[in-house]
Amino acid sequence: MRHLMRALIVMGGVLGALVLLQNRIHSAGRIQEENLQQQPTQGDWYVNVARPGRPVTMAIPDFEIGTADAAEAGKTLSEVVWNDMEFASIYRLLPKRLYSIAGNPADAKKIDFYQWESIGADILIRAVSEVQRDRLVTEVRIYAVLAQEMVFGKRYDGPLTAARRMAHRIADDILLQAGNYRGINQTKLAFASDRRGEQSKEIYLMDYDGFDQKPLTANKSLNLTPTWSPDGRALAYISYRTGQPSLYRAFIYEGRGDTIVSGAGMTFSPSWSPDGKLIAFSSTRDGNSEIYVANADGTDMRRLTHHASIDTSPAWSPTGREIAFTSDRTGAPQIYAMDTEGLNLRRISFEGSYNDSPSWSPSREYSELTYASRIERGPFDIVVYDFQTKQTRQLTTGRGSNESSDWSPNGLHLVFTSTRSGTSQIFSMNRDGSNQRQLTREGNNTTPQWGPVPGQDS
Amino acid sequence: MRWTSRILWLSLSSLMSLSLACGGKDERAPATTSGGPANLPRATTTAPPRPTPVDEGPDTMGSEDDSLRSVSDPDNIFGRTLDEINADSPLRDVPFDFDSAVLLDSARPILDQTAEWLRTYSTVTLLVEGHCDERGTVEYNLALGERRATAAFNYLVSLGIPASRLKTISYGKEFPLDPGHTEQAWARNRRAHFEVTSK
Repeated sequence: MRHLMRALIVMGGVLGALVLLQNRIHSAGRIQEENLQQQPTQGDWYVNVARPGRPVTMAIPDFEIGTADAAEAGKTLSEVVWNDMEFASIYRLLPKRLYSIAGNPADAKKIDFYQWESIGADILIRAVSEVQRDRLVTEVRIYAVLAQEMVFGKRYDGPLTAARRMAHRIADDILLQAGNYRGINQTKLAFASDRRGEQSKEIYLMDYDGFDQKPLTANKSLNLTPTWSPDGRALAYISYRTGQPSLYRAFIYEGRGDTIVSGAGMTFSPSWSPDGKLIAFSSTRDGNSEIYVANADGTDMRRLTHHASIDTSPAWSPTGREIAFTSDRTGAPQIYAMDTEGLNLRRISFEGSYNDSPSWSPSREYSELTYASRIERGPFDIVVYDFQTKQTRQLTTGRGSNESSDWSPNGLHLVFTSTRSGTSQIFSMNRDGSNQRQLTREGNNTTPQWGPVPGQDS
Repeated sequence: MRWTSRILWLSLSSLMSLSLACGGKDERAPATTSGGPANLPRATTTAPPRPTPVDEGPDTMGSEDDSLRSVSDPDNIFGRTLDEINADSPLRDVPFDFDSAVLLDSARPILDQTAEWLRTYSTVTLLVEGHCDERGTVEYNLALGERRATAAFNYLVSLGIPASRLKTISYGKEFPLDPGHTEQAWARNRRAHFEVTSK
């Protein structure tokens, strides 16, 4: 049986083609936006809502339903926005049971700000959804409760089927307008999954919250370790589709792909540079596993490491000037960094007997690197190294083996795999290890990579 | 040119094996820990012993010795398809210690038998697959599996098997033989596995 499957894997490569992933954004139609008239505000009002000594609080009542046929979409919008805001962990969300005190008037002019203030709300979100000419139309307003003014308002107009997508966009707008945070609610994750059969792994995509999981590849071979292009329009990944592990690229919204690096030895562990121009990867083409860099189309390949040990798992720094990687040159796998010429090598991890899979935080605020660390002889846990304090903090503890951590685009969250439920599943969490959520449940799911925030044009 | 680099790599990797052995890894399964540096001279043995009846150490896997039966029964190969051969393979897996691609003492008789079998069936070609247990990371295990496959490849070549009859590939930890999460399952999964690709 196994050999048969193995043969299938090779065969599958020939037959295999990229599943044409429709550009959901485009095929489902655009969500149009229009700012609502708002009162003039003074400067960074959101700084002023904060009261010393406690986190900023936010009230998000269920979206009002303007027309009866918008009930279902309105419910979805309420749930998804709430879930997004809860995950963001920026504001303390006031429990909904308190809201009845403040009432729920349909007319903004009748908002009793004193009542909202009395239940402790700093920011109030009000939204109303209705169906107009088969389109879902939602108006969202953000109020500063103390100042008793509307500080932001926007009208969203999209297909009826796009409630989740609209909700993620609303949540990102709330985070940006109410707190100047760059939300990640519209991002996607790429990962490898064996859910279609245990002798193959395909690359899958899903929303950041685990919804809408769908395959990108369908070649019944081993497809591993995806990495996103910084514009979010392409993925590079490893496939065994020809029998020889090679590096491929898929343009996910165009349904086409190409081979970037193949040939001698095996090619694996790709990492796309922050400017999109280069891809770093490991290859055994010169004998043992070394790190190489090539243009994103595979041309101009050059070798960065020259060592008889295993050098693998390259990860770019957010500036694109350094590459972190794993090497067992001291006898056990440890994390190192070098510049993109392969020079100025320095060792980063000193704790743990086995450290691998580094990922550099893209955050502007924090200078951090996450990786999987094996402490003593136990399983792996996710740790974060802070370049400023030179301290390492452990984010997961002793529940299964936790590996393959990667940052959200704003550096506030991480995605990782854990075997805590028996199989390998994908989880997300905050950068302090709190708020851990399981995103996948089917088959084994590995090497998640958090995609970029989609551009304004999509 | 490629050949010389292959040889260079060969000597490099045996050097590496040495240094790894010197590293005194304490990760090996308890059953195989028979002393640290004292093992070193055995690891450097250059003249491999002739194939001998299996003398299995506690860390080798499987107890049935199919290889002798196969050698004495040529029809076993030519009367069967590749799939059938690989489904009931005369070639046994080569075991490894955790995070190591150093050939164990118990691996050598297995490789010696493999070489003997390849001499008997001189047209057979093999794919040497390197596999790892689940405890390493995905990326690192892809490299480690390659190194295990190469270790088995190099040893077979050193016994006179033409390199042209062998190809290597790493499957990392993607295809465990035993889905369990025990020391025993991990030991079974750390292996170089042989697939007959033509006969």
